[in-house]
Amino acid sequence: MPASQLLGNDTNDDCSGTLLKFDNVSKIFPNGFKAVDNLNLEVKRGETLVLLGTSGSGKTTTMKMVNRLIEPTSGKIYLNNEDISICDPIELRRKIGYAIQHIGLFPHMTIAENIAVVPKLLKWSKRQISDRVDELLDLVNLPPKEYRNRYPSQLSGGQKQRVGVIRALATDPSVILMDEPFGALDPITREQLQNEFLELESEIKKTILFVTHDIYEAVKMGDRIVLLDEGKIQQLATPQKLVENPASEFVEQFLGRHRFQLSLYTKKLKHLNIELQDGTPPEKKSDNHLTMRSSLIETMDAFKVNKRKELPVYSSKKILGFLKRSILLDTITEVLHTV
Amino acid sequence: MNQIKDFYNNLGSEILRLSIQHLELTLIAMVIAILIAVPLGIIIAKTKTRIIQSATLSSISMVQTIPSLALIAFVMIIFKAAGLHTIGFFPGITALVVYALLPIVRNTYTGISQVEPSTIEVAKSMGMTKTQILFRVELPLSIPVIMAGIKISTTWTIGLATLVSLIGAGGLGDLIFSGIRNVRESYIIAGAVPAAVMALIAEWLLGKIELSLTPDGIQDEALHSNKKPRFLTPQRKLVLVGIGFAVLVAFLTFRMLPSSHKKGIVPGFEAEFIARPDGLPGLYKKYNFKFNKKPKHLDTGLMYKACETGSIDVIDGFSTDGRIPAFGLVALKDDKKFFPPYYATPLVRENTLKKFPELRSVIASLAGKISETDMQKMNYSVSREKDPIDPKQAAKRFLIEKGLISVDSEPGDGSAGIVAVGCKDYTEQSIIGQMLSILIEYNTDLKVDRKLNLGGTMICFNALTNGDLDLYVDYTGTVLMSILKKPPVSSPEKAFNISHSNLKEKYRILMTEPLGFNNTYTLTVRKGFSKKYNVKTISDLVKLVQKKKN
Repeated sequence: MPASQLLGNDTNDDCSGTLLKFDNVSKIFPNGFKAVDNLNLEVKRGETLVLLGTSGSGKTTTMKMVNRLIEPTSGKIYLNNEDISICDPIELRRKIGYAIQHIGLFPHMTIAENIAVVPKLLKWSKRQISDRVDELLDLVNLPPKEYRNRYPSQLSGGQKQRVGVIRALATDPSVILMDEPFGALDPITREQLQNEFLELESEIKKTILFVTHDIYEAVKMGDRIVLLDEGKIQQLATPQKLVENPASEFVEQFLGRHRFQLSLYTKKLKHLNIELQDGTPPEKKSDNHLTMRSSLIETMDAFKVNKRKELPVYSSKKILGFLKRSILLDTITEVLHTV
Repeated sequence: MNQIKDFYNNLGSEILRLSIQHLELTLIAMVIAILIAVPLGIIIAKTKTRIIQSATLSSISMVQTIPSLALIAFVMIIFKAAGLHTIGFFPGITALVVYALLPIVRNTYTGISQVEPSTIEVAKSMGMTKTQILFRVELPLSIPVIMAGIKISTTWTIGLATLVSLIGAGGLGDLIFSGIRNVRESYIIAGAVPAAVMALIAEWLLGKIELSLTPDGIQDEALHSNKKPRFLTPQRKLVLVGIGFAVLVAFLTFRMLPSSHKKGIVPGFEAEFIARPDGLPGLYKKYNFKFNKKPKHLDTGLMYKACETGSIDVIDGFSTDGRIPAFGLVALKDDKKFFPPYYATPLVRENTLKKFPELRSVIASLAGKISETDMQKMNYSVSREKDPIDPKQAAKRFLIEKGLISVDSEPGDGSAGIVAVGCKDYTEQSIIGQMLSILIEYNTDLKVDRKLNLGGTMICFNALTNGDLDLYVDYTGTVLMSILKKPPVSSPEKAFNISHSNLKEKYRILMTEPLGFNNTYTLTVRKGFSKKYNVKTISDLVKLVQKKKN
């Protein structure tokens, strides 16, 4: 497969260079299992790169090599153009945020102490730590007064996971590694946290390496997706490209029957030739208003919630025009035929 | 009588002193055990080699399977091989420490290895060093389990500390053993109750310490009571507790050191001798002196060895004891005639004599037959290190020599009934017990049930009064003072007569004619010691003690 096709060319505009680079990286475990096979990958500054694959595909191994929980058998990994194998692993890890499925909050520490672990290791001042803890708790809508002195066992699963995520953000690290961070949650809480995180992420603009086996989560969270199998990259593309132009039979099989549903997530209004009409604006801009960046599924959702025959499409505060429900349904039918 | 009263008056302060000593033993042993066991537990939890883990754990478990008394003996052997004092504080502490290790090591190992691997991975990935992971994550999370181990081993140690009294380490065991050997139930209670109370208090106190060291986050109670975080965080408390223990150990060690290094004459006596009015208290009065050092409490079996090796200078010995010549010791002359007579005399239940009248003449045939030299020789033949013979052989040989049984005679058929013969648990008693048994077996058709090596006067005499024994041999002095609680009497005839009539009236027990030898107390020293300081009599020793004091 030619490299150009593999890498995809539709990249995010605000990516101003490579932050993390895998250079011919392989990992063979002592038992002979080849988890990662000659991987070449560049993670751009500010993007969320999803490592997607089934178990055993090498996605977690790839991620754990970044903070040297696992050492590669061959090849080099560069963070900010520095070869990480030369760095002190302890210092390296303190610069990298880490959130995992099991959350791994320390049960004997309060929420505040849990968040403060790395700042403390970096010897921040007390004042600095306390301010940062409050700021982070506010960020995920856990009122600091109420939550900072609680213990993990007094929190719900979703609250714990929020703490797990903000703990990874505590020192404002340049890279955050997330290993199925929402994997252990129930579907409703998971979706809620995904949405919260997307919002959070749009504010903080972090470089995130996100591991998941859930294609919907990958499509939802990722700026780009790397589909891995047997330690090799099967396709590296934006969610839309991955869904619409599978690079190989394997990718097609991996997407399987989900392709139509997935394309409802990846197709946005701006990608489709949709006619907008004139109409009368509602008195109030609704919460889930449409923009040209809204996906088909979000658009359908908006119609379901608002129960109107037409809805305004905004560009920031300006109304571009009105989308008729019948036109939306026609468009969806077209999509159904193309995939 | 006054002497007995004195001792009872002293008992209160004695219980307190021994309780404090007991506490010191336990505390020092526990601190040392914790200092060894917790790091050891951490190391084996951290090592990836499974063989090292299981080898360490099973070898520590193996120590636990050694009976505690045997362990104490084992520690003595090792101390002797290392050229150290085999009795006293240090071997005692060593035995306690070795015994206390297992629960702490095992629980530390369990505690550390049960911490969730994902928690450790997160700690690692956050950039904690191995030490930080240990102290900030693994240890705080293991505290409840480790403390449970410490609790178990503390209560064990409090119990075991009563046994190290046998090698002169002191503690409440002194009272308990003194009570057992000395027919004084009150002493046993005075020793056992404080030890039990101590164990309960320790359990309660350690529970409190555990609760305050356990992080709130893993404590149900604290979680439900939405407490504010405390100023004394578990880490700070751990440091405080650590400092507290260190200060305590330093203090106690300083207290111990001067006494164990002070020059002077070191006395070591049996519990019975220390307590009896005709033993040490009476000796002090009669000769008007006191040893500079508190006499170490020693088990009879260890006393001679300790004197031979030089860890003890003066012991109480018995005039007929074969170990006096055998261990190169010499008995000091009782120049003020303090020690009362102790003529060996069979005690027989009157009911038994009624049932088996033939016994009377058999027992009487031994009267006056055994001289002190005879007894010393027999004792020596049994206790000497080079080819000793067993007490039965010694007894039989003597009976043949004296013509009391003939070489080619056969024992009776045992059809006439069963007689239970007892004796206490030392060489001379075993020989005499065997001698009476053989004599009965060869001269009657009675079968002898040998209940030999019973633990002391109280056990033998109680067994005799309630019919578990039919006869055993005791000494006039012991009967008079330990059993009948009468004041000492220096005339042998008078002692016999008082004992005889009292036993007959009160207990329906017949005291038959004495066997011949007088096994009284003597103060015994090494031959070398006697020569070096020219000490031949007790008065000589008193002078030497007073000279050393100044």
